[in-house]
Amino acid sequence: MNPLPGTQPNAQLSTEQVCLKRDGNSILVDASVQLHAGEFVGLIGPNGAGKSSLLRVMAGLQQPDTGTVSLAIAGETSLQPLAKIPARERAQILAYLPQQETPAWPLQVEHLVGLGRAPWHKPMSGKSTRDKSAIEHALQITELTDFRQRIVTTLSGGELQRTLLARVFAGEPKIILADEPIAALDPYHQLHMMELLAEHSQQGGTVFAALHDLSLAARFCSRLVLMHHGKMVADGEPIQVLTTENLQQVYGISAYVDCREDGVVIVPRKRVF
Amino acid sequence: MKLFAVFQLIDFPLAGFKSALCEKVASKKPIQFAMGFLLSILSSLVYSQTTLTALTTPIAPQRIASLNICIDQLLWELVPHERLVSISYLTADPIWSPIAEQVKGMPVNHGLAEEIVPLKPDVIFAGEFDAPTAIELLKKLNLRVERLPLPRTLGDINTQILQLAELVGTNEKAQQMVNNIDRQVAALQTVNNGKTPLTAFWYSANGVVIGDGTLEHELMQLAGLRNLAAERGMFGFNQLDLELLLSAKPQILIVERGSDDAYSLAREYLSHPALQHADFNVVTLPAGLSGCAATVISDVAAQLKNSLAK
Amino acid sequence: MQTKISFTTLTCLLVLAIAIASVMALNTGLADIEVIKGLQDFLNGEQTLAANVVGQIRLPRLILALVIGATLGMSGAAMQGLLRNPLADPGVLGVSSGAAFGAICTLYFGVAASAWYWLPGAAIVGALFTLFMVYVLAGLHSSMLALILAGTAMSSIMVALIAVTLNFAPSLYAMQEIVFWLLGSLANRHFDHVSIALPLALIGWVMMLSRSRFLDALSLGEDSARSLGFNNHRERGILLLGISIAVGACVAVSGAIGFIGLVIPHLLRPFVGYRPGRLMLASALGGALLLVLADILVRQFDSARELKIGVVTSLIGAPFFLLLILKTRSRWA
Repeated sequence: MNPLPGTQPNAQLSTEQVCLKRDGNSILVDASVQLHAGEFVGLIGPNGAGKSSLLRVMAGLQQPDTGTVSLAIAGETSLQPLAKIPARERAQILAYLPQQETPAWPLQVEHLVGLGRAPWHKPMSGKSTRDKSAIEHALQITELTDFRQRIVTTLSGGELQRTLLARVFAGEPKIILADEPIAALDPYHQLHMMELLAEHSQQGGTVFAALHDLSLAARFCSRLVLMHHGKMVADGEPIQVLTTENLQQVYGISAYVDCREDGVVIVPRKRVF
Repeated sequence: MKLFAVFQLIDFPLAGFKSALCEKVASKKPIQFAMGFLLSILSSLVYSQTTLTALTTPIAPQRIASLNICIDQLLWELVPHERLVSISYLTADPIWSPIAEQVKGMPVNHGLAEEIVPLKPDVIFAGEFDAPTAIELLKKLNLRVERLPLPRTLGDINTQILQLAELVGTNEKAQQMVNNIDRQVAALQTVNNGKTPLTAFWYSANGVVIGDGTLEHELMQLAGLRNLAAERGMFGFNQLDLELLLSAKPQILIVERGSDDAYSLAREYLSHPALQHADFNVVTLPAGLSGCAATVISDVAAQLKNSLAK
Repeated sequence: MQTKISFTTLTCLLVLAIAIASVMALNTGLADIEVIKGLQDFLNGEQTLAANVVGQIRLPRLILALVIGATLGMSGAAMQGLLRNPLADPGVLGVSSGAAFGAICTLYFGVAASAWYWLPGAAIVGALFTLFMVYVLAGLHSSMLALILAGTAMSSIMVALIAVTLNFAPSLYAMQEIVFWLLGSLANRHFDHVSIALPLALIGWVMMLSRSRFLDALSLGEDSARSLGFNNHRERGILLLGISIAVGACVAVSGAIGFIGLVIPHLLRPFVGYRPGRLMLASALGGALLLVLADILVRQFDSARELKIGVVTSLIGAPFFLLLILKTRSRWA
């Protein structure tokens, strides 16, 4: 099969000219982005820029009005349209961490993390050894091994978010799409989550996370995508994206931007009109 | 009352005879006297005769209305149909009335005084419990209303038939009906003569068995059956648990054949497999005894006799 | 909040309790007979009184109590898992009202008299028709909230129509029959009823239990469940269809028996670690147990006026429901 036009050879997930309208409002306009293996890409933009919608389209939860979303699957050299891939297969490759979903029931941490194995479950069987080891590994890297018997409703915000991320890891996905994964966390846990996501990309996976915290995004992400009113405004290295012009036009702020050895530091200063 | 009238009438020619006699004794014309006397006797006799007839034969009501479905059915048997000016709407409903087809076209009423009054009936019949407000109103309007009680025993049935006939003037036909009923009942009594009484339940809809103090019980007694419901101290209609019914081991189960439009849940009790697998004989009788007994009773008695005879 | 008991232990305990209750149920009844002998005779095909009573009266009644209780329990757990809310029960979808209305129509029009299967058949059609209308009102790919609203609307419509039939009932007799049927009863049911309820309930059970994983994943939210590879609309449709078929078949046979679908899942939830998937199986067992016990209770009283089983479950369930609301309210306050 010929590769779809405009995609780089090792792209994992790609959107092309995706448009989405709801109630007459344009949510996404010609959104195109490619994600590659080993990338931790930050999706930034003000409220209402269309970040959540883009992630949902890319996760296959929302059909765009026009445009395509394509995913690299095992055994195929080129990307396949997402809509044509069976849901189970897609779920084994692509995981989605939604914004602030509180679990409906007071489940045990271990069980909730185990739910991430759903794409791998065979219909009539219990947990396989692979399931067990994946869950164990997920608990380890999120430092939740001592919490496994705890009830999720008794956890703090940070612990719950780690649990939900552990659920994502348990599924052993290649690509993680995360919507505001660190929104309600304290600095310690924010850093911890970003480290976990960065580690996933360093091990060959891909992370595309919508983030409000420009500082953390600039520090941990190798690449930033800036959105405004549903359009892609900038896509590149943090220092290239976080220009004074962009910050003023998109966010309406001026900020102190600096390059340090551990990454770019950005501190919003004041509003600009 | 009739005799008194006769005496009065005889007294009149007697008085005339006395005065005439006194007169004629005074005059000397014996033949004219005799003729006049004879004439007065004859005329008074004729006069008394016609008056007698008039008094002993009241004019039968020509315009009859009825508010009650059971009375309607009796009237249908007893009087010429032209004399019925209104019958109950239930009588024309095939769900409730076996004569629904036959009464098609007859004017019906729904128990409302408004429907009855314009028809100017000579008499209005109603059952014991019918439309009390309508009847009150009709009486206030000076219409003749005759209330007939609900027959509770076989004797009541005969009495009611004759009483109704009396009021509408068809004694002969009524007497025939009563004779027929008596005949069937008598035949019923001969069925089980001398043999050991068989145990039975009269099993109605909804798991109800019929106990003492009912027409059904009376029929069972006449037929020489032991009513197990009555023996359990049941009076009237009572629900009996299916397990208890089976445990009592009746030899006969009397059931009524339902009309096709009978509601099913009630009939379902009769088709329970436990009854199918049990060890008794089922006697099916025509339905209607708990409705309008008078018209059905002879058929029921006859059928019961025939079934038991086997 | 959670009670430490393994799922296997719970299941074994419930099964044991059901076995004991079943033996008690077979020994409950007004006839004075030897149950074991009767059972043996029945299985040998002999026609003694004991065989008749145990085999034709008590045994089908027991089987129906088990099947209907299991169905109502499982359906309640399924609805609560689907709606992610412990206050839900199958009635929310309107299918039990629809089934009741279908059955009452046959009573009202006298059709039920012509053959015994008209009433149950109409009840099942009523249940499925209601589900169909719920989807028509809410749309095929609607949110769960839209489905609930449509279900509530359909339930109200069906209840109103039932009131109409009561109003225009041809006779006092018919009205009484409709009302008593609505109260729910297992009295005098026999194997014909079992042959309707059991196969359809089994179909419903399979459809529901096969969605266990989906309900578990749904704990994370609709988006997460979809991202885990589930086709939410399809899973939901199968679940609702399974509930409709099973509940419809049960209402067809016994009339409306309520509160089991609400009470049992709530009671057992802590014992299965709050996992919706496992709760369905546990609730089936719990519901079967509860209904058998309720049926034993019903037969302790004077048989002249039969105590309807629906009344018993309401008397247990309503105060429980009240307690539940008070507890939930305090949690949010």
